[in-house]
Formats: sequence, C-alpha cells, structure tokens
Amino acid sequence: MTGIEAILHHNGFGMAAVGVTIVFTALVTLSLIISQLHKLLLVWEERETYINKARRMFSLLGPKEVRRAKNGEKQAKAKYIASIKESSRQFNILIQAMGEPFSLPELIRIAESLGIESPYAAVAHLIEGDLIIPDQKGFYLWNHEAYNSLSKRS
Amino acid sequence: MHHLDAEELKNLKIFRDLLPDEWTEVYALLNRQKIIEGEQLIREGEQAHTFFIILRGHFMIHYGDGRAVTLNKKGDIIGWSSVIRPFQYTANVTALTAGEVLSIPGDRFLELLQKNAELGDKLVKRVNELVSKRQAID
Amino acid sequence: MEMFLDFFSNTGFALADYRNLIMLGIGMLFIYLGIAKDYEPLLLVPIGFGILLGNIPVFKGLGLSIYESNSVLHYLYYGVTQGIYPPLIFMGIGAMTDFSTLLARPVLMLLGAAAQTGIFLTFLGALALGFAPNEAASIGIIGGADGPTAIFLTAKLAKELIGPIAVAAYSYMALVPVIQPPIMRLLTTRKERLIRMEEPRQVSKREKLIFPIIAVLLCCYTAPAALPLLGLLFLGNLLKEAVVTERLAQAARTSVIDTVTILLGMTVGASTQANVFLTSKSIGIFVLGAISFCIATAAGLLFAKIMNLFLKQKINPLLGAAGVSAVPDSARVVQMVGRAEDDTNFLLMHAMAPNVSGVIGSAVGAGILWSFIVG
Repeated sequence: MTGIEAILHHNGFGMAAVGVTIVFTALVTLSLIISQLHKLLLVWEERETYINKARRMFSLLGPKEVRRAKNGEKQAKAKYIASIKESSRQFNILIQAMGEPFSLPELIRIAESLGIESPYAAVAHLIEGDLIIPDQKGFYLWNHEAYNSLSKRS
Repeated sequence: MHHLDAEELKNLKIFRDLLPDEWTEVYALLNRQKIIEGEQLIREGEQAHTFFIILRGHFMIHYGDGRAVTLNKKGDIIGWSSVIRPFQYTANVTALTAGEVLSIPGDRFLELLQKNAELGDKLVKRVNELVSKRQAID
Repeated sequence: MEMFLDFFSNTGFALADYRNLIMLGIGMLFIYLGIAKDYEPLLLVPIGFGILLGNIPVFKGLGLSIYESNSVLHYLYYGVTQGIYPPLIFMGIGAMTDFSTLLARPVLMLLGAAAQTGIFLTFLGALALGFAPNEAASIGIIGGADGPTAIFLTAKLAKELIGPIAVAAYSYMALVPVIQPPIMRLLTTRKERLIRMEEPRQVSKREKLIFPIIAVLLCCYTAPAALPLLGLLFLGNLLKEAVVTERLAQAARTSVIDTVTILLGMTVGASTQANVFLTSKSIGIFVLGAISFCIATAAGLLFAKIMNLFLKQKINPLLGAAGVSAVPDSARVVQMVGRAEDDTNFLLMHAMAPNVSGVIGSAVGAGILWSFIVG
C-alpha cells in the first residue's frame, strides 16, 4: 500500500497533526514559564520588601509593634552589657589569681573547671570588647582601664 | 553547600582575583560547615587533611606551650599546614563562639593547584598575604 | 596445497563480494571526510572505521560478526540496540550546554519547535512510500538532525534500520554546512539576513539552576516517552549549573560522552554490513532523510518569518535554520550565512537558543512517535 491510501490506513495525518501540536505545546509552555521565571525570582528575592508592604497594608505592624520591637532591641543590648559585666567580673578575679600575662587556653580551662557559664564565648566577648588584649607574644593582658569604665556604667 | 551563596563566597579576599573558570573549579571543593562553641577543629600533631576559611565566629589558634592567637575575620584561614609538607597540623584550633567555616580537603586542593599552576600561584600568594597579616606571636 | 586453498577460501579475500568493497569505500570516505575535511571527525572517524570492521567478511559461528549473539561487537552493540548510549550522550550534551541564551529570549524556542515539523512531514512521506509506521517514524526523526535521538527511536521501533538511519543522520549532520546555506538563502531576503538581534539580557544563576528542573518535569509530563533522553539531558545540565557537582559534570561532558561516542560510532558503523545496508530501503532512507532535513530547515526559517509578522522587535529569520538540533553546527552555519551579508553581525550566540531548543524538541518528537507507534 502506498500514497495517501497508506497514510490514511495508518492514521498518519492524525498522528502527525497531534505530534506537531504536542511538540509545540510543550515548547510554548516551557518558553512561557521561563519567560516569567526571572520575574518570579525577582519577587522571591525582594520578598522581605513585599511582605513588609503587605504588612503595612493590613496594618499588622502597627505603632505598638514597632515600639515593642525597638524595646526588644534595647533590652537585648542591656542584657548583653549585663552579661559581659558579669563575666568580666568573674574573669577579672580569675586573671588576678593567675597573674599577667596569662595564657588564653589556660584561662578557659580554669574557667571551665570552675563552672563558669560558656567560658569560650565569654572569652571571645571579652576580646571583642577589648577587655582581654594580646601582648603580641602569644599571651594576653587584662585591660584594667576598660574594665573600670565598664564597671562604672549603669 | 547552598549554591546560591557562590557570589558571596567569591567576594572573599582569597578568591577575589579568580577568573570564572578558576572559581568554578575551586568552588566545587568548598564545603560549608557549622561549628559549635568549644568545638576543636584541629589538633596539633595530627595529620593535616583539611583547611578552613572563616565565614563567621571567633576561633583560637593555640599551642602546647600556652601561646594563642584569635581570629574572627571573615576570610581568615586556618589549617594551612594541610597543603604544606609534612602535612601535619602545627597548632590546635578551637571555636570560641558558634560559627561557620568553609572546609576544603587539602589533598584535593593540592591536586587542583598542581593541575593549574596559574591558579595555584594566585591562591598561594593570597594565602601568604592573609597569613602574614596575622598577629605575629613568634 | 589443499590446506592452503582451504585456508584461502576462508579468508576475507575469498568471502568478500562487490558490496563489501562498496561499503569499504564508504567507510574510507567517512574517515577521509572526518580527518581531511574536518566534517564531524569525532563521529565520522569511529563510524567510518566501524564500517571497515563490519565489512570484513567472517566465518559465521565463530562469534566475530556484530550480528552473532556471542561476539564482542555484539555486546558493545547492545548499548545501541537497547537505546542505552543515546541518553548517556544526552547527559554529556546537557553538561556542556549553556541554556542562558534560551532563557534570555524564550520566544526563540518556537523556532526549535517549528523545525520539528520536518520530522512529521517526512513521517507522512515515508508512509506514502510504503514504509511501515515504525520505519516511517524512524526515518522522519532524521529531520531532527540529532544522531542520538534518531538512534534511540530506531532502536525502539525498527532495530533492523539502525545502520542506515544512523549513517544517514550523522552524514546529514556532518553536511549541515553544505545542505543548509542554499535553503537559507533561497527562503530569506538580503534585508532579512541583515537584521541585527537585540543583546540578550543577563540570566541569573538561579534561573539557570531552576531551568533543567522545570524543563524536565514539564517536557516529560507532556511526553513521558522522552524521559530517557530529556531526563539525562537535564540531569547533565543541572550537574553543570549546580557548580558543586562540577566533577560529575566534567566527567559527563568528557570521559562519559567520549567513551560512549567511540562505542556508538564504531558499533553503528560495524552494523552496516553490506548485505543488511545495501538495500533499496537504505536508498529510500537516505533520500527521505535528506528531504526531512531540508524540510526541517525550511520550516524553521519560514516560522521565523511568520513570527516577524507579529513581533515588534524583528528576529533574523536565519535563526530558524538553527532549529534543527545539530548542535552547534547549525548555529555556526547561521553565523556564517549572516556574516556573509554583514561581517559585523554576530548571530552565533542568538542561534544557540533555537539550536538547543531543537534538541529538546526533537527528543519530545521522538518520544511522541514512540508512544504513538507502540501504544
């Protein structure tokens, strides 16, 4: 069997038409999606802005909440100062007993053995707050001046 | 590792000069690792297999004789002995705070440097700059 | 003396007939074209050498011929007949293809779809010439200008035609620079060929990462039979774009694809033994294949012209010719023809978009034909 008859016999026209349609559908849909993809990603990247906008629109974050958030920040700062004050007091005593210059790992070891809370992080905070300063030879010194001024802060 | 922070990592001083192709190769070696307070990353005398780049946190490099130096800058390097003979760590490293580091297997890093001399040259120069800027304790 | 004559009667010299000599000539021509003319050498050299291997007449029963079930060549050929090699090649292609031009101008994807019309028109032509539907589908896919896809579909539908179809597909792919330019010039005006394309926008890493995932899900949900090809194509692409899997991507685009190409080329070549290859069907396949290829090129070009009727920012219709998926040869041809008119017009980067979408389109087309014929 040949010619149109063969095509009709095997439903060739139907298969070709449906085939071309499916190829086009798949690629057109894919191209539509990817043409919008970068816009969706932009929205995603800017989600914080959009969420805040939406919140403002629905007044979810009223003046009270803003005040509360600001108060929260203040409280956290005060808490941090209180904690650094407390650990500086403990480490001041410890360092006086050890003598200066002192070894940082040794200080931590003793602090740990005495049950001081989070001795590693406390030491890091004291270094960041310039209460513990390096002597440039691998050992450390207690910054009495900084400690005194911190103690005077309310 | 989260792929989307590639740009952020590329801005680290050590990687800043790399060409896109070189960066792609180096990036494939990086692993992001979270560290908890007090965690010991490196022990003196042990076989050095990994080096680290600080992303966040405060770390203490300390020696058996009590000396120590602390690092807390993003991009600081720890454990460089893993790419220098005899591949043995020469100090201990302990995390003072919780943090995050990039860990890089030393042998794979060396393989990469051997494969690409230009890249190796760039990175080693950068590392030397970074390490030499550290607080001298000797 | 009798022993000598016995031995001689079993050698290739005594067993060969004129058809083997013709095939040896074809094999050597392939090797020549690959090495001397640099036409797709990575394909034509292994295929050409395979043709030489396949046309050394051997004793039946010794397990030497590719068609004997206990032969080494037969085992290597298994990857072809079971459709294993083509998806692996697709993985390599995915790992080396940058889809960013496509992501920057998705509308060019339609050109890749339009060029697949050639597949279906040739399918009708082959049916009209008396080929069975499974054979007609395998012949039609040659118009996709994608060797692995053609082999994959033929392996699934008409194993006995793998040799001629693969050789036809790869020959036409190699001859893209010869076949396409006249059609391109015929169907476009000089003014159209001079159209400059707008600079594509920058594509973000996130887009490139998400694309293979969306594409595989969408295409394979639409045409599930395209899964082996597109699944691995997009896996390869994800490995490339993920960066953290660079080692795997590197393996896929070098060692894996190279190894598979050698095995595929050589065994496809060896399957073209004179008695199975030199038949009237093969001639029909070659003629229809050429027509299919020309229709695909023309369909892409004409569709681009039609799109220009609706687009504000006109596209250079030459890009339509890159809709056939011979990557990156047809894109290079677009660049060549475009530069012949204006040597400051660079179309290569733009032509890669329809080119890679042609790869996706022909795989979807193959999947559809497979499901129609088997289903």
